[in-house]
Amino acid sequence: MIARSNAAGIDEPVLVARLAAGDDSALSEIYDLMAPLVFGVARRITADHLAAEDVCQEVFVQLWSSSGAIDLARCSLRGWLSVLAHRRAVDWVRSTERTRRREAREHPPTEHDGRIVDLADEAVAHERADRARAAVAALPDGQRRAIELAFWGGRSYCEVATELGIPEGTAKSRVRLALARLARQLEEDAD
Amino acid sequence: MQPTTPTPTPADEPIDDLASAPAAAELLALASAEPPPAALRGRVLEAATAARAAGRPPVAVDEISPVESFRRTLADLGRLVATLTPDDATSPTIDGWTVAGLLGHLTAIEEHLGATLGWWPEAGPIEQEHDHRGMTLPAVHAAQSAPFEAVRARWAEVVERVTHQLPRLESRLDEPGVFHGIDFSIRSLLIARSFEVWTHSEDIARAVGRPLPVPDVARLRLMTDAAVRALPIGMLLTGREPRGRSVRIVLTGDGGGAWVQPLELGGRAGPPDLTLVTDAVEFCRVAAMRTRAADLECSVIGDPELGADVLAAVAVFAA
Repeated sequence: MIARSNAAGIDEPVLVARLAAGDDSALSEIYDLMAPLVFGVARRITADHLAAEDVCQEVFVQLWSSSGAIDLARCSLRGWLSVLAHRRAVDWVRSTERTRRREAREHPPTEHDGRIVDLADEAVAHERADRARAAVAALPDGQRRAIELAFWGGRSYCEVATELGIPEGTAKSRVRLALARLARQLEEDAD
Repeated sequence: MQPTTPTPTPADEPIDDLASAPAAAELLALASAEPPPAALRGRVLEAATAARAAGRPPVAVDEISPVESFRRTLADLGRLVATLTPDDATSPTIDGWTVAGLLGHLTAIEEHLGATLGWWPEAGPIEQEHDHRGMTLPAVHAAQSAPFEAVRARWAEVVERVTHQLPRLESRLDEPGVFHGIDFSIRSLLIARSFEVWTHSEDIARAVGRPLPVPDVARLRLMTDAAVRALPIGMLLTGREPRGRSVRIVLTGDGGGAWVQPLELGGRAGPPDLTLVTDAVEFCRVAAMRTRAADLECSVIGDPELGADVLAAVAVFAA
């Protein structure tokens, strides 16, 4: 009998196999484990609670509908959901032309929202979220500002460059360096 | 990584770089995690199962009738049998039988099937009708000492007669019948025949070193469904008393699906006491006693003792 778990103690291959086979209880389990991740990304990017709910719903419906396409050899389930949540949230921002409201929102993207994050009261999840925020905070200032604008702000490279007053090529390299550094950090956390 | 139907975006954007760096995206998402409102959970799960019904794989499976399933499985075996040489025919398979002997067994069973369904009279006196293997032993021994061309031609001739009659069963699927002393509907009899012919096709392919024949998804789905629904009988035959207990069976890969199955004969499905996750084809091989339950690679979530009981009961098809 097999038993495979990742660093967070979740047997992702089995969960994804159950999803693909049509086991709706697996979807419930994944929702309970990972909805804070998806909803948090959506709310932070859209700055709109109702839109974040819609994005969250859209992401989990897509997870359920196309679960056979998830390739865990290429990324974790959390990574898959994070990318999809980000993409859907950015789509929402762009399609509803909320950019101006987002810029004017009370909490700018460079500041951590104190209401956030408890990951369903799981101590381990809470610790992982703390480590993730610490990893972002530990980025060199230029990279951190660029990645915050690109990820939570949903900006294009051109917009990042304009807002930071740097050439677009520099904006790209800062974001890409930040992504590489954060990915390494996650791997180190998993070891 | 392509987690989504791409929304058109300008090329060379952060959104595309993020899609190539899911680990970084995961870490950034962790940093912004926030519990959603409690009411969202039910809404999301309802919307998901409205988009794709629970229990079914994401890609819809073409449904076929048990008649078509049996016809295709006989045809698959026919293609394999056509390639066999006289040397292949002497290769050992199961129960000490040669390939030719196994073909003799199948010939006798298809003859008996036709007689049971009223298509023709029994070829000879039937003794030990309740004994699937024993009743065919004379045919097995005869086939093992006969020229292989004659054995092959005899099997092909019987299969041709069966195949010719099969379409008539489409309107009789719910009709009850008795085969080997067991009450069957014609529907379940044909699925059981598909199961056996596929299993013996694998036996022959293994014996002569050929690729194993793989049933299409539609046929596998019929077989997995039948094997799961037979679990209460398997529990009964193996002496278990799973009063009021249910199991969630999740079969992965082609022909898979998810079932919540009561384990008590005539019982009603309740909250599962156990979830068992394994590959659909391997599950069928356990049902056919070609893979030992103890060797099955599977995940058991829940009561491990009940898990062992359920796995022991899976082999009911070969019982």
